[in-house]
Amino acid sequence: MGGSGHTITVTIPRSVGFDLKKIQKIQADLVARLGHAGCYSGFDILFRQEQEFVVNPQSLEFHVPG
Amino acid sequence: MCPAKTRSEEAVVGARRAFPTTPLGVGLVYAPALEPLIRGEPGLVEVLEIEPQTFWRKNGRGGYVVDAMRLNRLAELPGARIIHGVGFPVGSGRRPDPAHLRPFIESIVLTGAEWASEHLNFNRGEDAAGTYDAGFLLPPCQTLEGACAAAASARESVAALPVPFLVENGISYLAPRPGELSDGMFLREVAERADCGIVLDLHNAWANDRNGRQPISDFLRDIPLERVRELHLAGGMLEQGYWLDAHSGPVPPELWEIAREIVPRLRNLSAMIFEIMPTYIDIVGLDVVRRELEKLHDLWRLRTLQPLPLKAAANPAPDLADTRSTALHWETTLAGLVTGRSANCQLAEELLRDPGLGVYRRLIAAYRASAVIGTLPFTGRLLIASLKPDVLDDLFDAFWKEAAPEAFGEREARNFARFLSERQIPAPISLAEVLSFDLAVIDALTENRSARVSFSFDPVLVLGGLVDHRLPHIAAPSPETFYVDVSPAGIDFGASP
Repeated sequence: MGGSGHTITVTIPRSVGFDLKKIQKIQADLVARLGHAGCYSGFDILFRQEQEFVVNPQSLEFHVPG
Repeated sequence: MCPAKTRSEEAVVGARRAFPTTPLGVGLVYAPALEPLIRGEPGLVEVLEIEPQTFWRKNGRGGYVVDAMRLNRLAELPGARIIHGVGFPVGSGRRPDPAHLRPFIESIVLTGAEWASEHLNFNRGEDAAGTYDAGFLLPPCQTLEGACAAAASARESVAALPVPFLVENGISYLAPRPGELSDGMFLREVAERADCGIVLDLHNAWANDRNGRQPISDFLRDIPLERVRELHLAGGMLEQGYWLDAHSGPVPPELWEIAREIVPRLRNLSAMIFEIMPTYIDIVGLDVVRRELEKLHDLWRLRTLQPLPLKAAANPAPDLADTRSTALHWETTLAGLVTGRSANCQLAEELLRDPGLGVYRRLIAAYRASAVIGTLPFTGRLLIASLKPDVLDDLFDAFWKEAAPEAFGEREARNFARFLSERQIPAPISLAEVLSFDLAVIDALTENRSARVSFSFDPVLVLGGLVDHRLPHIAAPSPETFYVDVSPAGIDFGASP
């Protein structure tokens, strides 16, 4: 995007924590959304999708309903 | 005066590059997630439709910067390319921002596009502070005056671009109004007055029919079929009684039936495009997209291979100044109402009684919320995890009222970040730190800038959890200071010595 023209690379020095593929997916989606909105005249479902993950107040972990 | 209708052969095929003599074939709107189909299955995708502004960013001086590296890459993909504008629609009494023209042409040249198109909509309003983005493609002033104003705008693109120009019929969630042209006659008036081609979006026409506007059979009777060079097909969804042009999945079976009837009559057809929003590609999967493309190939075989000459048309044209003011009144009123501004006029009163207005408001809010969550992903997930839904809705509502929509995601993200930083939001871990991280990633991607972001908790634990929709329990800030270095070359995690 812009000056760099490519997705930034993630380097993780620890063996714990990240699912690399998932963070790469988040970054790819982010790059695609930084420019102008695409052709749409319907419902962008991303926010609703993210809301589908509800936090369990006991464990503070998200879970998918149902 | 509005230019009289003429059929100028030169304007269609002339000084600029002409339409290709060999039809381009079947294709789709480019999205990175579709590359396995584009690269991996020869012959499946013969033409790529590129939405150029999604590869631009806005600079601080009111201009636009083209991501030439990414567009160059698209030029290397197999198949032909065509450009489909999404930011500067021509269905307006207000001319598109002239600053867009240079990057638009640059995008055409970089991708080697065969033609370019834009929507017969508008997307800007105006108040005392100046023009603003309405955050959505809105339906044009659909009178003869509106058609004349739109034709003048389209004609400017016809004259300025190095390739043929086409206009696309839009969707309207508003009810038909007395004195309006039919959807089909409006498209005819604009295309013939501007002497340009047509992108026939069959799903838009079908959705308009389902939502109580012109029956699609009448629409297809009204439009100049010989001007149709490109066909769009898509899927949609039913939401609160309205069929939405959501580009959300497979083409409905009824629409395939209509397509099979009309395609043999589109004798100058050169491309068929399947549209699906990137968000929905993940949901439906590539197999569904592949099947839709295979159906398009079947449909492609129904074409009649006898090009039809364009018909001349002649109608007297009303005065240009009057047409623009009529269109601008419509646009200012409608854009104001969908973005929460007040308007006191008869038109506003009439529009407020139209339930379609509420559809636009809901769609704009959903789009803006998705834009914020998509561009500030860790902040967004932390907000969703930390706030009750109604509190988050109130927060968004306050932001919508404070800041006009921004069509460029980076702008919307920075505006929302500024808005958040001025508020105390209760969260189990520091929202400010997570927000700084998201902004640092945006800076690295757009400005080539590096930054070190400090954390009072283990960022691998927390950011890693948010990636996985999981918010780990943090009892208290760590005595250590953690840092994350974000640069265009990478992100590095570590703890202070």
